[in-house]
Amino acid sequence: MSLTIYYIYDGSFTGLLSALYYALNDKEKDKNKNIYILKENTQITQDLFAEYKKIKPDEDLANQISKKIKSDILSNTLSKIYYVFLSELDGVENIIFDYLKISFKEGSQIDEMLSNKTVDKLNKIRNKVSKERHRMLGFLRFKKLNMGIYYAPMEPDYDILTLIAPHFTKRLGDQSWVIHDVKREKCALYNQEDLIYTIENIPADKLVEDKEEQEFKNLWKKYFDHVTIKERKNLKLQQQFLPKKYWKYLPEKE
Amino acid sequence: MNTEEKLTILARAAKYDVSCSSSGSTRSNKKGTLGSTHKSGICHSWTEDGRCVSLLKILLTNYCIYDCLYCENGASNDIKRASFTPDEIASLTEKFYRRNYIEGLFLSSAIMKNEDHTMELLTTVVKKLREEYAFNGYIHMKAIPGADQRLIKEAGSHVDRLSINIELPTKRSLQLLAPEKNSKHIISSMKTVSQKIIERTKEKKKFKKAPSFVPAGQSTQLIVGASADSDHDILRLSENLYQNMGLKRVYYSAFIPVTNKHQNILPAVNNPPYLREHRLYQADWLLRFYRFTSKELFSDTGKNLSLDLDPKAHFALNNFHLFPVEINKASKTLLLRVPGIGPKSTKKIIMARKHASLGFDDLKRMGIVLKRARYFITCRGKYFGGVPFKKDIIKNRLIAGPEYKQLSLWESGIT
Ligand code: SF4
Repeated sequence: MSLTIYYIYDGSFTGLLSALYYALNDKEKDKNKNIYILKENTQITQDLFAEYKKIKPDEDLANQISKKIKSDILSNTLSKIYYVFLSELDGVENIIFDYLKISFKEGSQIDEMLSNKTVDKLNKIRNKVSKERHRMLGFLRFKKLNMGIYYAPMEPDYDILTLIAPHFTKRLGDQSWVIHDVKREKCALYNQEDLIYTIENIPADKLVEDKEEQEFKNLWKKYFDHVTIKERKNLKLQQQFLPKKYWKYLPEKE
Repeated sequence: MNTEEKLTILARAAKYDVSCSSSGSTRSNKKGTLGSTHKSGICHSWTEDGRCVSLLKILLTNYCIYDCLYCENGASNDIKRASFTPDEIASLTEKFYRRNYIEGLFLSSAIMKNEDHTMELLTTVVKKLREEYAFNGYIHMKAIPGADQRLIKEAGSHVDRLSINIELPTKRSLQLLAPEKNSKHIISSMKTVSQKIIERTKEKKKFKKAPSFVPAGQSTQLIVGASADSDHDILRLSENLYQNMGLKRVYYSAFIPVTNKHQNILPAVNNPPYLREHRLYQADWLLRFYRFTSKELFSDTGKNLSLDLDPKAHFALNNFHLFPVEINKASKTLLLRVPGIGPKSTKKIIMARKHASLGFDDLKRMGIVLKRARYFITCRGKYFGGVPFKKDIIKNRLIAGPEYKQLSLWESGIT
């Protein structure tokens, strides 16, 4: 009977890379081993004969494997995996693992192997995350708070905070702002110099709007209403591009 | 009049402008400044009619000394009028931008007092934004044809894209419907811009630091259905503009009658020709990205595009002998000619077939839309159309197919 082993990581990307490091090494040594990667606290039916190993996140190992991915596969592979990881979908770790096994074999060819099922699965997830990222670059709305900071709440399907924040350091470089993932209780903070990520929550009493806020929200709503061509109304089409799940924080949809 | 009222009047007046694109320009910016542009364009919202809202699209003024027959702003029309000051526009743009409502500004104007005066005001707005507000976001301006070249050049050094609208595709119809406009002025203003673009591109090759001039290129707009001009006239003009004037985009806008004052000259329009506008966009797409010639699109039929079929399907049926093509062998040019297969799918197919011979299911899995393509291809020699490979049968399928009805009038792309 072939051996089964589960590597359990803490849910961080460094943790995942560390687990991948072990898993890939293991696989190289013994092709017949069944290897899986699991996120901590995932519900599974325990397999009596399987081995479970907890992996601590290890910067060193994560760096090593990152370098190897970049040099032996393609320079964009690591970012691809990061996007897929951020999808937080069940079992995504094993798709990444399978993908890397194939990629180390095929090298830079991997991006072209579109009819391969694993490649296809991974690409589809990446594209979903990337689509939401692109949408959020447009749908995110900042409001000015009375302390002069701009505040933007969001509740994306995927964990895209780190994918969108850098865009706004370039775009809104001369104002201080906070992007708040309300669902995951995480924030990106920018003070016109540095960008940092925190898991602190913002107390509600700090979220008082600036006096001028209402005026501009209102102007924006007026503008939005007046550019609609009433004779061509097509709400289905609108929702296809601007799904309802994003309406909550849009002043024009209030 | 307060800002809100002005905004209402001057946004309304600009809403039929179809060009929403904010892409094609990457503006470098220094750390800690306001604004950047994004290569592929970003939509910030979608109107209830399903159009992308990306730019604050407004007129500087709708007071006009001219009286073009097709235009709502014409001097003899009894409408509410307003003008913004350059400061009002610059500040509104900045305030909206800081809240991430918009990608930038799309500024145009009616002609107040005279061409130069209006152009001067427009130029002041963009200069203010760039210099006083240090704004690096996207700006698209409609220049006033016939204004002083110096002003047009100055505006061009601040904006990302400049349009000069031709409006009517032939001199004849321009004389009929916009007698005060001078086609020579329009063309010479466009030439000024395109020459300056070429000049600056050369300089940029030599010194990277040379200031940019209209980095996202020049565009123009044509009105469809106000004059007797045919689709062939229109597309020949567009082809010419792309090839000889280096234009980035030609926009088409279905004519919507604004008054019935000119009944005797203007055609009766019960429904604006939106489908025709859509077909023109599709054909235009073929000119720009598939290297079709305008001649090919009109091979045997009359002077207008088919309303029943998109121009690519029309081409395929007219050149039926080229099909079906084998997915695993066909050249790139031929793949691009298959209805339903666009540049992205073509690229995917060419990559994937290097590694494995592709079957019909592989194409599906790769996300290639086969609803229409299936009638024109074989995979490993097998035909999956499900109907005999006969022109009439396939034509009926293409016309009756549900995909035709789902076509959005606003989707200008064609695959
Ligand atoms: S000059 Fe422009 S704004 Fe004035 S009437 Fe003619 S088309 Fe309309």
